[in-house]
Amino acid sequence: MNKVLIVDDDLKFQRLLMVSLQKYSNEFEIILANNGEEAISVLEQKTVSLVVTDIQMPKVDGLALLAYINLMKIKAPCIIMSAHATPAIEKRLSKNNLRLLSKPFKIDTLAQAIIDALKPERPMGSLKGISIASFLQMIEMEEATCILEVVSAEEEKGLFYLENGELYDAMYLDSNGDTAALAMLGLEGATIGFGDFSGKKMARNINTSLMGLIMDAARIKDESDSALLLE
Amino acid sequence: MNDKIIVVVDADLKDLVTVFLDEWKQDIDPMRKSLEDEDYETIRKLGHNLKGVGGSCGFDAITEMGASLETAAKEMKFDLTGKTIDLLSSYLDRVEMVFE
Repeated sequence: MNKVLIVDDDLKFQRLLMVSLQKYSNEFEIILANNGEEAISVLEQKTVSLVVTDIQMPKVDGLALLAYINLMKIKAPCIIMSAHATPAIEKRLSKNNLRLLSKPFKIDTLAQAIIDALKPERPMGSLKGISIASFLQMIEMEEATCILEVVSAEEEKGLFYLENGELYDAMYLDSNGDTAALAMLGLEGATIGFGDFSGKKMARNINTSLMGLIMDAARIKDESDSALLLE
Repeated sequence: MNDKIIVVVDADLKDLVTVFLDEWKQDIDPMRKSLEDEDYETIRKLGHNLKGVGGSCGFDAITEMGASLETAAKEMKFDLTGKTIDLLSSYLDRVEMVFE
């Protein structure tokens, strides 16, 4: 039986899930967790087939949980529930192997998304290798203030600083600002975590929109791939 | 203003939603107290939760009022927050469920 871990701090919502998803009990089993911390504890003890998580939660939030899943290379697809999602964001993240469900939704919509995600040839990919762009887009969507730490496959460290979801600065190797952001957006196989923020503020050094930077990084990668093909 | 509001709810959710409705009514007085204390964060969280759950069990109006409450509390607008709580209270007093 497929085990589906659902993470949400709203106890009423959890009760609604317990009752509403009962009719799907022959298709999947649900495990509920109140926050990212509890979810990590479940993931340490059990193998789950799918993770469904809210983003805004106390203690360890959904973004930190996704970072953990990514770091531990847990091969479970992921559905993200957010009250701040828009159709445009849903479409953008779906290109990055993440399914986003906009709250509120009918429970049958969630059930169908779970069933789709559990199919062997699911329309979305697994969370393994979640891109830096996807993380940044989720932080932007949730208007969060945080430091996103990036470690490349070559163990080179960098960071993004976001304030209320806006990208303020980036640092990587000897560069900062747009240059550092573009370099990190182009990394493959990087690991992602959240740094100690401690309420520090940084001056704004990036004025390009996040979407603009992501598109520039994609263009640079395409050009690089084309050049390699021509060699 | 005292007209009844009929909401169609999934029969499988009858017991649960009946409890939810009582709990939402019980949240009104603590919400008013939080507003008196200018504890906007508590009201914002309650609004956020109403927004997330209401529409999922058939109460689209609860979701809309929850969203308004969340925004008003986030912006610390005393009068608007109070009016939204009044609106929510009136809605909860008038709503009746039909189970299908």
